[in-house]
Amino acid sequence: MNDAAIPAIRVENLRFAWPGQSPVLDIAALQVQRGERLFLQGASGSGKSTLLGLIGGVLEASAGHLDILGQPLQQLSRAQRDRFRAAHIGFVFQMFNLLPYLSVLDNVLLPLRFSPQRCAQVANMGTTEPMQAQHLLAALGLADASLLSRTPAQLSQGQQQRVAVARALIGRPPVLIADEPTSALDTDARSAFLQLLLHECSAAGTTLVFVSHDRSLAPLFDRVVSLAEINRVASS
Amino acid sequence: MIVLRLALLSLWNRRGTVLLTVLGIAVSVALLLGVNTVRSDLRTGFANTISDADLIVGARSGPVNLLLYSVFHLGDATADVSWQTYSKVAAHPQVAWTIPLALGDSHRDFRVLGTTGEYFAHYKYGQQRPLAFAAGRAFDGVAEAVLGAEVARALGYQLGQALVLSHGLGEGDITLHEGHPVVVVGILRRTGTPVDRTVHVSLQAIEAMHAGPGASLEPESITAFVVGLRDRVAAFQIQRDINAWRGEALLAIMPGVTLQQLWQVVGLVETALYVVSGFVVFAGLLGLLTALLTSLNERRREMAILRSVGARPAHIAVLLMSEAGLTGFGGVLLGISLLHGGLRLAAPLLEQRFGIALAGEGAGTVELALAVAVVLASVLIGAVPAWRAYRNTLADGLTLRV
Repeated sequence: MNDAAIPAIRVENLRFAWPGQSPVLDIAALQVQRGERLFLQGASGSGKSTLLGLIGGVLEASAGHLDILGQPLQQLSRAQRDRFRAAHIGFVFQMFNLLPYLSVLDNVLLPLRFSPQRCAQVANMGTTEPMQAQHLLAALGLADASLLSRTPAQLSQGQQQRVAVARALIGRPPVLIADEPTSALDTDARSAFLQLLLHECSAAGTTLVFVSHDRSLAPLFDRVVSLAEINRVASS
Repeated sequence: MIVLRLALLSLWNRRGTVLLTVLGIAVSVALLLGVNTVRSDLRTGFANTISDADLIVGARSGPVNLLLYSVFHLGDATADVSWQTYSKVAAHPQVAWTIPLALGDSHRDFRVLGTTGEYFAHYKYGQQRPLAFAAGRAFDGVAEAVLGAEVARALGYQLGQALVLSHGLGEGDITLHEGHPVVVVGILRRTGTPVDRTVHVSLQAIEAMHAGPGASLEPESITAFVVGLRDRVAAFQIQRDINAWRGEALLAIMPGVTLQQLWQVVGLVETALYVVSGFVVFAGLLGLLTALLTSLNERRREMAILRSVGARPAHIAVLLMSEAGLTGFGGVLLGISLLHGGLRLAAPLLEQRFGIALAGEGAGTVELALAVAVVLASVLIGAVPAWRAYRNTLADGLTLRV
């Protein structure tokens, strides 16, 4: 099977409802191709968190199909979904992405502790884990080696977000989900951050799903999808 | 293991509140172990105070009372034993030796014991250990005294020191026997028993003080006496004979048996102390639960981050349970240290009050058992927030709640 032909994310008639409640998410179809950089526009209440929870395998669809990298998530047990997420998806959130009691380096290396696949991926690249972390941080504009031993509290918001991206990208997960990663940054830091993020994803061939309510960022992406338009229960 | 490392780092990150929790557990553990140690040490101490004595005989009162005033110098005798009766018992063919004990006088805060040379020959403590002299010798004359180790230390007395005994106990309105000073001729080695806190003089010295000059030094009565038998098997028979003594109401006790009776009485108080300190440990562990649950809400973000980097709910549960276990472990370690520090401070006080030395040991297995129990209980308690966190992580998903 040709890997590249399989979409990174394939959604078909996906529905989700909390037990005993009416559905909060109902999407007829959504596909994200390998290496695509998608801008998913969604305000709060559009079912954004639910969709990310489903893609992350933390929530279980009530009906329909959700395949990640050709793997139907509904075929996996909860523990298997957790392992699948750890191996294949990196996450960056709005803010406070980092554990306050770990150094920058340990924060970046954290996903490797939970995923043997991503560990193996680093080894395959012929580098050590700290070298790879340093390499990613440098590519994201954090070349200063003294940063590695600092705690997140000693970093600016913009620096913290870049550390979060380095953590999401370490061990080369095929998919990166960024949930409003720029909303806590000022305009200058925002565009710099975005350029670094897009560049790194392109360089690694990572599929990027960038979720934001801020439409002004959309032109930088390959494709724009409005969650309000595809979610049949959100707009009501 | 990554989770354990995260637990340690997370605890360190919140060390202020964690330390308070640890302290709460530590104090409770120290209290429970303290009750246990003092109990077992006191028992050993009391049991070690007199050995090799088959019977103790005094005027008829309660067995525990007789044991306490004759051997431990706690409380007072209500009546005496006549010298005549004592001489008759001592002459019994089954009796190997006797030590007469005449109490009732004091020097400063220390009791004075009138006795004979038999005391130094036959009094045994601990594992059949005889008394030994650190300096000097046994008293020989009317005006000589042998000091227990603590008396000599506390009052700074040396051989040759003259001292005046006073009638009665305590420092208040007592008659000083100033006409009859005694001179220190011997100082005993430390025994860790009430012997250390005793001034020993001859029966004649006591008589000389109380009788006027020129009177006979033959004692009229003594407080009690210790009996050693030729054959221990005869102890029950002799005890019955003495208890049925015609002419004088006597009571003979076997020290070991009476000590057991004493512990039965004290046992109720001990049980109460155990229950109370057990509840204090329970309260300490409740403090741990409170701390864990209150921290949980602040840490929902931390849990979501861990989930997003691949931690499974089981990891989160293990993280919280190991934090609880580590906190409990820290509490136990600190508690045991507090206890041993505290015992070091309390031991001199107990020794002053009872003349009994706290060994501060022998509780090793109990300490270990309690340590294991508290750590296990902590881990179990950690299961409560672990379950809550598990539910939270399922409900929160990957959403970071600010």
